[in-house]
Amino acid sequence: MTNKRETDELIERYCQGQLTPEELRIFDQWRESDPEMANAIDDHRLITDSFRIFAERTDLKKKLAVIHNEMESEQFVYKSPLKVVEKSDSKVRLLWKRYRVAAVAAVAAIIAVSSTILYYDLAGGGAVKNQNAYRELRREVENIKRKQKALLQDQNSSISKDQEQDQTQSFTGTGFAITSNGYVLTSYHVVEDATSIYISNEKLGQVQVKTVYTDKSLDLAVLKVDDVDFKGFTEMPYSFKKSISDPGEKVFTLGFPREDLVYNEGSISSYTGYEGDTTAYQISIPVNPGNSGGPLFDNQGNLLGIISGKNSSAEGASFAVKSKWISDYIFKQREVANITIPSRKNLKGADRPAQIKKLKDFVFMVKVYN
Amino acid sequence: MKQVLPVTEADTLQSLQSGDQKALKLVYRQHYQTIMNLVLNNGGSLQEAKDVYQEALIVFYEKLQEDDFELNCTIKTFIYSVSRRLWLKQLQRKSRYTDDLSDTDEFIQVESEDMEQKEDQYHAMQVALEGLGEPCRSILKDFYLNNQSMDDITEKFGYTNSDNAKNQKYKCLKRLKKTFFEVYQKTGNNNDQQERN
Repeated sequence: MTNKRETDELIERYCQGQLTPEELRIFDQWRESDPEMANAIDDHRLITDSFRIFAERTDLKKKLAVIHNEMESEQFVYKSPLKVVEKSDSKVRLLWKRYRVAAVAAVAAIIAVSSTILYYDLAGGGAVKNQNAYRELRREVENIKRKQKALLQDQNSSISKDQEQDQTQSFTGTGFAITSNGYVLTSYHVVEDATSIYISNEKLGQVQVKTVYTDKSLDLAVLKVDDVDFKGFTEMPYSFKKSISDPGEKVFTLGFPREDLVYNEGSISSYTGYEGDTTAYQISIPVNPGNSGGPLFDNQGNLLGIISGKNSSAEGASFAVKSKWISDYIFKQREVANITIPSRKNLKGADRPAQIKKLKDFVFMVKVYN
Repeated sequence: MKQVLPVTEADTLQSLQSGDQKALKLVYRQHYQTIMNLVLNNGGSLQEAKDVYQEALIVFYEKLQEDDFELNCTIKTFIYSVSRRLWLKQLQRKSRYTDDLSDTDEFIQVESEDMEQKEDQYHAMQVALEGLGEPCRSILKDFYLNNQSMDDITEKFGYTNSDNAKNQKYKCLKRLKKTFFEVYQKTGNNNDQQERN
């Protein structure tokens, strides 16, 4: 054993040119007289060469992945999905009418931004102070125009399948961490038909995730971070509420209806969701496309549910899947049975800004390409 | 015969050779669309297009680092040709063999043996490293990839003396070699068979 190890080390030093002249003289003789030795040297060179190739390629692959993500996020289309249930559609409860909502939002955004520009133009003229802000805004408008164009194209059903395939389609939604080792929960309709999914926030940066489990009827998807460099989230600060909450309870959510995290609050309005759906609450929180998959918390920072959609024909009626169903049903499934639901109550008693400060690292924008 | 390259292409090549990150980004963006169309038009998905494209860029990038490499066509044609070759091979693997792709660009015949060998080496190493448990993987990575000395490793992994560490490294390398050569020879054989078909 030791003998073999010494031979190995000798070969290694020989390949690195580290032998003394005396050693080299003996080694060369050995090498020439023993064909097995020559083979061993070739094998060793192949291994070290492969190590080098592996290191270089791994490094290059990482660089290319970064370049690709950057490119994709610039071409980003804000067609954030949001499940919308309408009275007229009672038969097809799981039909998402995301395009219409997104288009309305995009148009509204254009109007909002354009009028701001007008304001700057009139008030500031060419004032140096405002130039930075002005440029920023214009880029935003260009962005939104492009987004809207893409939206209109999507709505246009006459586009052939081939043409559609040429365009990378992207969606965003919200998701949140459920374990510190990288499991994330979001809405199923956010990640439906995805070819690649990324999550990002200020602290985490952007990492790729894969789908671990989905449930279409509850509109839930469990994702897991799929990145070798991922070190884990810090300890979960919140817990899953196991009981049902009552109407009147104050609730809040965090989500990514735009590129930055947005806070919204309201209260639980009903024990049941759309058309008496007992798996969901009706809540009075203004939600927008992109809020889908966002967490719903109570005053103590317990997780009550996950935002799933809203009623387009009624004002201020949004829906959230109950946490009880997530813990009682989803995490009983085989694929995700190993997940331990968080049960810490680190947010109890803290005021809202302090709670948000802790929570924001656990809420992510979910970017989906398909 | 060596073709004279336009200044910008030559510049780009030089920047790439010196490892310029911006040049890589530029090249990536310039040709992505072309390769995406190639793969999508020939039965591939967006994910496959991305993988083929990135692999082709890796081949291109590695070629540029070789001293005796001479580019006799445009960057675009080279990347297109490599991607085309890679995609044909993939189709072959899916046993949808065809040598008739619907092409959008001109292409040259690329020597594929060398790039396939590198890919096999990379693949075998990846499998072998993944198959190793800890601390083996970290020890070998530290020694061969991060160029750490045996003394560093002795200290980092808490071995009582450097002889213990060396012994552990030896065992790890032996295990790695075993898997590596198994995988490497298997992929090599597969390639031979495919060539004969």
